[in-house]
Parts: sequence; structure tokens; C-alpha cells
Amino acid sequence: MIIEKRTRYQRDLKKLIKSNTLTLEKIEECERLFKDDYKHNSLRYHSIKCKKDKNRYSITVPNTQYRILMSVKDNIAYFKSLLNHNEYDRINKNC
Amino acid sequence: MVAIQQPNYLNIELPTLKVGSIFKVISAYITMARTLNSMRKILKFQFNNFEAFIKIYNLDTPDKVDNILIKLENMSEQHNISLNNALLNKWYAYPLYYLVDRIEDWNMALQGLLMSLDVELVHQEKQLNDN
Repeated sequence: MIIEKRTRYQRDLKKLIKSNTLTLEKIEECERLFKDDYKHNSLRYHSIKCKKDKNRYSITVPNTQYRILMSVKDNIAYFKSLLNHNEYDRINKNC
Repeated sequence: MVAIQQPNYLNIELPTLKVGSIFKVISAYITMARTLNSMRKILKFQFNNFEAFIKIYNLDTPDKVDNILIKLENMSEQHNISLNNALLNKWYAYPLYYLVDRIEDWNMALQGLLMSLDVELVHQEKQLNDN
């Protein structure tokens, strides 16, 4: 699958690296794993039920509480945001 | 006989309360709650009527969507600071805490829709370029 990183995702990544909550290596490893095999068990790739957005998917950054929110269209995965568990719940709660 | 000494409650002097200051605090509290509640309603309305929201802000390019997203992100940061504030975690501030929490819920939900819109616009642009 092809990965396309959106500006919001890059902003989130910068913030988390700056605050030392995540390392760039961990994220790069996760992205590499996703590129090679997006259905790998440790990524927990799954779709999210949302009436207003049918292409919403998410993966977990292995061994962390962080999730990557994405949209998948025509074999392109658009990485939209990097969220912690709390934010992830909020974003999908009213969907 | 042992005489049990009881405090004479009638002799206790009550502190003098400044009526004006209490009134000011209560009115500020109510104003704050009203403001937060209207903010919550606005965000909920924008989420439920997202197509109207797109038209009002004329969101037809990824840059425009990103500008709105940045504003909402900043708002979200402020809310998270407030939610972690010790003063807002006191029992008497619970209604305010609840409202800020709900605002943050709708704010994040709206951000989710905006991110999807951003992806849709980028994908459309890509398809046009491919054709």
C-alpha cells in the first residue's frame, strides 16, 4: 500500500517527537511494517464505523497507546493524524 | 455527675458576608456556563450540518481546510490545559468541567470530519492530475 502523509499527521508527529513521547524510529518502523504488510497483527489494522466517513481506518503504533488515523482510497493510505487513546475515542465517539 | 459542656451555638458569630462579592461570583459563574454551553451547541451544530459548514467557510482547497484545522487544534490545546487545571477539578466547578469536556468531544469530532474532507480533496486533485 502507498502511504501519503497529510499535513496534520506531520504536525502531530513533530509535536510528539518534540515532547519526547514518541521516537521517530518507532514511527518509521511502524510505517515500514504497514508498507510491507498492513494486516500485520501488531498493527491492529481495522475499519472504523462512521456514518459520515466510510473510509476511516486505524492502526496502532506497536507497544504504545498511540494510533494512526487514516483514510484508504484506491490502494493509497492517507495518514491523517497521530492520536493518543483519549483523543482517538473522542474523534470517533459521535461519528 | 460529670457536666458535659456543649458549645453554645447561639453565641457563635457568623462571619460577615459581602453580599455584593458573592453575587458577582455567582453571576460570573452563570455567564461562563452559558458561554460554554453556547460554544458546545455551535460545535455540535457544525458537526451535524457539516455540508453547510463547508459552504459557509468555502472549504474547496486542502489549504483552507488546514487553516480551520489549525484553529481547532489550538482550541483543543486550550481545552486540555483547562481540563487538567486543579481549579476546574473541584466539585463546585463540575458543571464547567462537564461543558468543557463536551466542547472538546465535538471539537475533536469536527476535526475528524475536516481531516476526511482534506483527504477527499487531495484524492480528487490526484485523480484529476492522473487523467
